[in-house]
Amino acid sequence: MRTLYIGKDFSDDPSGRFYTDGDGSGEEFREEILRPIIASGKKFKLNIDENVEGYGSSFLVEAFGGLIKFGYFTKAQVEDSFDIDYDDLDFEFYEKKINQYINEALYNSQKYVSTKDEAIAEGRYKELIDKTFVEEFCKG
Amino acid sequence: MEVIDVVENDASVGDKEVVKSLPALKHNIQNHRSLNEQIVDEPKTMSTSNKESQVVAESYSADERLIQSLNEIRDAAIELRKAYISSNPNLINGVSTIPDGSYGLEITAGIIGAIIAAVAVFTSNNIYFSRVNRHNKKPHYASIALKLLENFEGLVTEYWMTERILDKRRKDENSNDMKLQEIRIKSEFVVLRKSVDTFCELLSKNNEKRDKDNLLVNIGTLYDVALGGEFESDNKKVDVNTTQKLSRLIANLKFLLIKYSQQVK
Repeated sequence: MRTLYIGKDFSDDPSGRFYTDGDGSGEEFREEILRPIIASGKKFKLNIDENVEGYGSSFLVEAFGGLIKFGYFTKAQVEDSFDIDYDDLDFEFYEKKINQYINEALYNSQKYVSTKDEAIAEGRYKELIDKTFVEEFCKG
Repeated sequence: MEVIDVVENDASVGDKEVVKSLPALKHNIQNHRSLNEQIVDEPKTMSTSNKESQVVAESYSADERLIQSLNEIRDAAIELRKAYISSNPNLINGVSTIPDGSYGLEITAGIIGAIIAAVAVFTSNNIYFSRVNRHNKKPHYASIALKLLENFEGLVTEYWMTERILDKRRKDENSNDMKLQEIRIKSEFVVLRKSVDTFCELLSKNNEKRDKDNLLVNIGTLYDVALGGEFESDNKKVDVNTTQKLSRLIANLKFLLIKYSQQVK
C-alpha cells in the first residue's frame, strides 16, 4: 500500500481553507490530491505527521469534509479509501478530527464553486506545489 | 417538821414574799446535806479507787515489758539482716543486676522495637504523603492548564478581533503579524490540549467522569472554533461572533478546571 505524505508530497505548512488563502490550502489539497487519488480506487496510507507541525480546523474541514459535502464520495467510500498513519501520538487528535469532519459532513449538501481562478487573478495562489506525483500515485 | 416548814405555816401575810423564796432555800439545804454525806463517805471510795489504780499500773507495767521485748527482737532482726547482706555480696549483685545471658535478648528486643517503630513511622508517612501527592497532582495540572488557557484566550481573542491587511501600501499592513499569531495559536493549542489530556487522565472517579468528558468535548470544540472558519484566510475580517463563542467556551473550560485547582497542603 502506497503512502501519501501530506508534509512531504503536498506542503510542510498546510494551512487555509480556499485557494484564495494562498498555496497549501484545504481546497487545493482536496481538489488536486485527495479527489483524484480516491477516485482511482486504490487504497493508500495517508501520513499526517511527517514534516508537519499541525493543522488548523479550517484546512481539515475543507479538505476532508468537502469530499462528502460537494458530493464527490460517500462517507463509506472516503473511509474505505485510506488509513490514517502517524508516529507522533500527538497527531491522534488530528486523526479524530478528520474522522469527525468526515462523519459530520452532509453528502452533496453544497454545490462546489472553485476559488482558484479568483486566487490566481488576485495573485494569492501561485501554484507553487508540484503535483505531478499524483498521476504516478494513482497508477500505483 | 423542820424549821422552814414552821416558818412557812406561821408566817403573816406581810411576810408572804419571804415565804415565796423558801422552797429554793429548802432545796439548797438538801444539796448541802447530800454533799456532806459524800464527804463523809469519801475515804471509803478512795480506798476502792486506789486498788483499781494498782491493778491498772500493774497491767501497764506488763505491756511496757512486752513492747520492750518486741523492740529488742526487732533490733536483733535488723542486725541479723545487716550481717547477712554484708556477708553475701553475690546476693547483692544478684538482686541489683540483670542475670547473665539476658543482655543479648535485651539488645535484640530493643533493636526490633526500634525497627518496628521506624517502619511504622515510615509507612504512615509514606501513605500520608503519597495520598497528598496524588491529591495534589490534579490541582497541579489543573493550575497549569488554567494558565495555558488564559494565555490561549489572550492570543485567540486578539487574533479574531483583528482584520488581516495584505496591502503593503497601507501603514497598518499586518500579514506577517497575523501569520505569526496563527503559528503561535496552533502551537499553543497543542500545549494546551496536551495539558488538558494529562489532567483528564487523572480523573478516574465516577463523579469526575462527567467533567472529564466535558473537558475533552470543550477542548475539541475550542479547536474547531479558534482554528476554524476564516482562520489562516487572507480574507479574514474582524469577527465578533467567533470571539464571543471563544470567550464562552474558554469560560466553561476555566470553570471545570478551577474546581480542581485547589491544593491540599
